[in-house]
Amino acid sequence: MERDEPTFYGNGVNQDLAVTTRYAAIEPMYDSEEIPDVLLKLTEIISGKEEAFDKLAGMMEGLAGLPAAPTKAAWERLKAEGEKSPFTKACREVGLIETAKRLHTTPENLDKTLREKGVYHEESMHELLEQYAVPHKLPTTTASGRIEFFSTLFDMLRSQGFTTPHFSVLARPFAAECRENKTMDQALDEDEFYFTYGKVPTVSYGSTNSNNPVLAAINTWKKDIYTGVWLHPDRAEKLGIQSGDKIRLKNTLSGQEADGHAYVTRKVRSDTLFLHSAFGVENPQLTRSYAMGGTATNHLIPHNVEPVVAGFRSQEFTIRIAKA
Amino acid sequence: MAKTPHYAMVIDLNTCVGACMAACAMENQTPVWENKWRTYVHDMEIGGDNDELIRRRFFPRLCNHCDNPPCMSVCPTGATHKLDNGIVMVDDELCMGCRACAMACPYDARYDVTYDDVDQGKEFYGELHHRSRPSVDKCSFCAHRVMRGLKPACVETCVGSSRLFGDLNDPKDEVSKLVKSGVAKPLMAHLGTRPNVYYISDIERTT
Repeated sequence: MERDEPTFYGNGVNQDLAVTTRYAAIEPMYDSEEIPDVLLKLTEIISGKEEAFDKLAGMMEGLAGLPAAPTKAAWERLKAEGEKSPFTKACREVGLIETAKRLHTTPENLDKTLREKGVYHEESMHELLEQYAVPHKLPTTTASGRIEFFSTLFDMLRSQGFTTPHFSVLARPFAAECRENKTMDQALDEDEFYFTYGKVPTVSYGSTNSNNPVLAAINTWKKDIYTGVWLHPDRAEKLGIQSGDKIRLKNTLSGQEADGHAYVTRKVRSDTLFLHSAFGVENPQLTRSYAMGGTATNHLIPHNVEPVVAGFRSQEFTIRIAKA
Repeated sequence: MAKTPHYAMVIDLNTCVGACMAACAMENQTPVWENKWRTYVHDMEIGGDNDELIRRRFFPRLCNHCDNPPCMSVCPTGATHKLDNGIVMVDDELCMGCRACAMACPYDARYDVTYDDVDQGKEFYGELHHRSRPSVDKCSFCAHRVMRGLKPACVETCVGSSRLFGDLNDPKDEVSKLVKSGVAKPLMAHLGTRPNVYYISDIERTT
């Protein structure tokens, strides 16, 4: 909400070929800086001030194609001009020029189109299909010349030693494991629930915009819904829990514990607890969001990493609750 | 000669996520610290007792800019008045704060802005603060923006394109078409207020 994205990238939600980026909707609060500038400072600490920029910009050139030399020139100029987040701004500036060049347009026109329409269209889905659709181009480029449901990437990874079933070259299901020595078919105990979480439209956890006074006022109005642990009334009644009651939550796999307040609602399944992930801020400097309270999801979600894409297995456990 | 517009809003409840309150507050500088807003988006549970039918529904509420506004009929000073384009306005200079309008409004759209709120607003919104008098305030369809050819702030910033704003006198206007088709319906039409805010419910959407 408070940042211009440092890069320009493909529009992921539409099947047309298009470019998009993010524009800041509100001013950053306090003395907060953009993430790329923070990462650059960390690189300076780790790699030494002299080499940091070249290392980071070189890596970005290799990974994202953003040319290091003009980015460095823009960074030095913006730094001299006293820009607050000069590295981010430099990436944005060079990214705009390079993307416009690729699209055979001007940076001004690209910027104007993105501001007005949100996306810059390159080709429609139908034009793409006309040119690239597999049925028109058979035989395919697979080994058999036919459509194969086979991952060449995973095949390569397997040859590099990643041989657990997660790296199967064919799509295969994995049963979820939420409890030790118990299958998903086995009944939950009376005080035991699956866990899921989601976002609110007004804040991101730990972001400085969580302290924005207007957004904080909306959150305060909806405090019970937003900060409470959602619990189905049929289960709540059996446990003697009512909306607003203080409850203790315990992760049955990791042993992590946290406090929360119950919000009893039929909007959640009876076997599951739901929590908005934006609250439970622990930084007292963020006075408004700190005062909101709530339960931080990182007190309940363990460091349990999925082996293929390294995403968190953030819902593969159960939680026991009790009135505190 | 072009017909005078008759402005109306359509809200599609299927795509609302309740993000517009902030845009409205910033545009119209409402006393949010006192939980006073020109538009509220309620977070509701609908569907009765059957768990399979239960849904979370965001429900936006605002002044309905009625063609027969009870708040205007009861206003003793003429502060509440209606423009030719259908927008119901409040003149802060004429409002004496009697709250008759708040009692008359069936949509609970009126709220007090007090002298304390005006003072606090200067602190909260800083040098851009534009309110100098208290009144019994409400949504103005962002008339100051509409007159410049812009959409109301809540419509302009609606991430789900849930809120649409248009002219009922223009048969080609999307809002006009939705209202004419009967898909979008007003709240409490039986009261005879003839509101200009219409809602598309999920049931209508599926038919």
